[in-house]
Amino acid sequence: MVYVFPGTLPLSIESPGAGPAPATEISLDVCEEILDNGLRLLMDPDPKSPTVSFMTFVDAGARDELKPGTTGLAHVFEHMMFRGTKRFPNYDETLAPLGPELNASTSQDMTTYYVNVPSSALEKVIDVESDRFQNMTFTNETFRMELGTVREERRRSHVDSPTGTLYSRLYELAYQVHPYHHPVIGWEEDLEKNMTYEDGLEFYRTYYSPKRTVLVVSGGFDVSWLRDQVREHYDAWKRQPEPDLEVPREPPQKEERRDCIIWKDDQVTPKMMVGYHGPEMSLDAPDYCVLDVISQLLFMRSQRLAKRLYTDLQLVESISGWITGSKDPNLFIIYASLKKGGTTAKVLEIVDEELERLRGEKVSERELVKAKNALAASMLYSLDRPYAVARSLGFHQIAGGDYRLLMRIEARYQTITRADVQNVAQRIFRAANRTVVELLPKSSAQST
Amino acid sequence: MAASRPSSAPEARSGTHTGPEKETPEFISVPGTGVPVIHFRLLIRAGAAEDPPGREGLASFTAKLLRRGTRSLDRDCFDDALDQIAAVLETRVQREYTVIQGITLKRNLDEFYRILVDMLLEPRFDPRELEKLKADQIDAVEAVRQSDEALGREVFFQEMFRDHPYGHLSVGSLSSIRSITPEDVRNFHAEHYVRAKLIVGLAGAIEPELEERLRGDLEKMPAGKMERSPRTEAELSGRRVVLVEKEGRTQTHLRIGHPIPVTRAHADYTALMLANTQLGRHRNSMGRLYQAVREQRGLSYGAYSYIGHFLGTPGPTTSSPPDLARGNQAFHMWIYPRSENAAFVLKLAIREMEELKRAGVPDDRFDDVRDFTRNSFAFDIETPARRLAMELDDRIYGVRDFARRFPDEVSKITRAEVNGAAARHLRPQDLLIVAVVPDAGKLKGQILSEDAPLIYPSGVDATPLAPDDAQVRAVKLDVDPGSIKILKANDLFR
Repeated sequence: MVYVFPGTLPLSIESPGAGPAPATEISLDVCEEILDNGLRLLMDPDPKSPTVSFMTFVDAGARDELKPGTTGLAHVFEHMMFRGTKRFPNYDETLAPLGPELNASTSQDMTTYYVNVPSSALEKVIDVESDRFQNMTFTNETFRMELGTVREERRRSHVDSPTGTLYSRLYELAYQVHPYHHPVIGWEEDLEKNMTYEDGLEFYRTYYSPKRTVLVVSGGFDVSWLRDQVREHYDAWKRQPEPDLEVPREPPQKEERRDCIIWKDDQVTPKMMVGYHGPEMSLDAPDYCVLDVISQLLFMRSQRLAKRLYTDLQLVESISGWITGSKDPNLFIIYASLKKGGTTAKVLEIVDEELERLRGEKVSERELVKAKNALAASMLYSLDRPYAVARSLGFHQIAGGDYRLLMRIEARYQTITRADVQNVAQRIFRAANRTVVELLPKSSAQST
Repeated sequence: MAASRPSSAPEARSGTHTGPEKETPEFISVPGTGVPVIHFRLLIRAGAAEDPPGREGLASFTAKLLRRGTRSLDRDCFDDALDQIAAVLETRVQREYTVIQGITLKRNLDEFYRILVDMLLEPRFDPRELEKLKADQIDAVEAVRQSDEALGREVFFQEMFRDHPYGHLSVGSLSSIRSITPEDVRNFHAEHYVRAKLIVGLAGAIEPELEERLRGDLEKMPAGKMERSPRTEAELSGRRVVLVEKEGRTQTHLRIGHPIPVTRAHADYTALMLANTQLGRHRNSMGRLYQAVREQRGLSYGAYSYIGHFLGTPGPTTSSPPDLARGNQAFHMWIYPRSENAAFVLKLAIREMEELKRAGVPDDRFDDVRDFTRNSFAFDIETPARRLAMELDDRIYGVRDFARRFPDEVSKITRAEVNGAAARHLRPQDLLIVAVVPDAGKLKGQILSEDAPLIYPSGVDATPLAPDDAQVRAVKLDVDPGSIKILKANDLFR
């Protein structure tokens, strides 16, 4: 499975338009432990929970695929991790009696593994998970077989998917130097021809190291018991030398980049993605939080672009926008799926008008409060189970360098002013800083 | 456990409970765990199955128009009021019922409550919004045609339930959408949005006063009657193939199955669920189908089977999400190999299904299958909102306390009962096979000639699998040429 994590989730609630009120807070009593080998353990106990989520975050994603011919390797390796070890040769069958939800995902920055089980089964999960991360074995045969599965996944999520194709092309154009240029699932020729079994082994030895691993456990367990269990099972894991690779920085974009994809059928409706270079997810990059607020100002149902394009003019079947939280500077993306027969030029014109409005005048206080409320409420609505909490903590630890960012970003939201919004809009939403990719039905080729 | 006899009243044979007429709606409350959030889930027991002929999509129109304003709030004000308090209020139409779902912060309950009750009692049904909604509903039809997965699934159920109230898209067809009038909507609302058809669910940070308050306000809804259109069992005899041609595909989405009389209300439900765990639960890698298609051969990313309607959702769940309760259900498998391998994978899926029917769950797998099914149920009821949805589905199926009974039933079930259910209810001889394909003529030729080419991933040594592959190729599809229908994606749902 491959997906991009959503933006950050804040922690407190501001009162609605009725006036000021005390904040509502969810308390996350996270305990942190770092083993001598560098492995980091984050624990969020909830004694009342009948379930527990055991997540392993590896600080290795598509961003780390710097060796030529290896695009998609982090994701392929995610698949390999389910191929068993000497001690537990059939991973799935070993855990099956526990009734787990288990899977993994790979993104630009990280690879994430989860096993959700009833709390009583946690001990077995620790035993199996610690074994597979330290003692993974695989053969060339299983590596080639898994590449076949990954190529089928690529067909579904990219080759036959208009949205996947559009998204990949946007990053390919927007990033010329940085590895965000290539899709997480990799280029077809690398999966088909270039990637080798030895590449897989090297990737495992380099990146699957305790120093690059974060365990996050949320739900029903006892902290001291868990701490002892993790020490017992992970202490012997030897730290690997840090890879001597430097991820190249993307130079500032100096002019607008554009492309148009003609899709292979006429069932598809016109689509468009616009990507503006933005910041990384960090409190040192305050624009990140402001862009999160801007996404609400533009794309909540009753707010500017969504209201105009979806509700009033009915030019789009859907429109959304977001800033991707990541280690390195990423894109603020606007995605519009148009109604059949719609023209992307008209939609882009209105997008430009609304972005210019953000640049030219301050938003109202009422709009700003609404946007902040939405961000705050979305966290309370979404962190409703141990898996969601663990996922969010681990994500902030890897992408932002500190799980506490989850709470701090919320505090930052509350300080954002109307002037902040205008200032960030003026710096980010410039034509020279953006990439525009359209995707049109097959018959458009004849009419253009 | 009894054999194939349904466990409930006769009307539950088709899975849908028709209770006695009642004056007040039933309330179900599931207290939360301290998070200051309240969930509302109201069911109106009238869904797409109640769409009148020629007005397919009317239930969906009615539900969506509810969300577009009240007498005191036009659509813009309605949206703004909800956004101001960061609340969620959505309506969805399923086959048997309409769902009105709300989520609000406890601190904003009063504001949210006023909007919700206003929507229920004083809908605006603005004719201008109805015209705008037509364009949005047409988008929903286009969305089905754009997605290979949705296209295959919807054609499968439409073909399965031909001449049945389930036999159309819930959003309607392009022609029926255009024909719906404001009067149609008002009439549908007047007939179905009544107390007798209403079930109210509350979960989370709820106080007893909320139920009393809502009960009082809902007294203003008309009493009405619990009536519904008649249902028949879907019938399928022999093997029938529907090929949906869509140009440019590199994969073929296969959906293979048949109607089953088993729902949550049926005595064989638990046993059949275990049998399905053995074959291919959604996103569960222990299934035989997944093992044979993906793990052993690398032929598809997913290979799953279901004993009821299922919509995949983002995230980890292996179970059916709520709101999919249907009186008439189907067993089905879903696999999406590269198109060159479609005929082979079709045979492989049928072979695994036949094997399950013939031999059941192997003795050495039974404990794992049973334990997985029992323990994974914890996630079906992990949150107050999910527990509430589970209870509401109980009402649709006409059963009680399913969540409490199910783990015990699984613990006590025997291998013979599971294998007996698989033998009784799986019918590999009667299959509807739907495939979304780039070249329908090619796959039709392969099906009729029993040809099943197979391309393994590059670099894979296929020698060890050759004997088993030969067995798969020997599986007979036995499809009569007259039982193959070819449709063009662009011509569907018109």
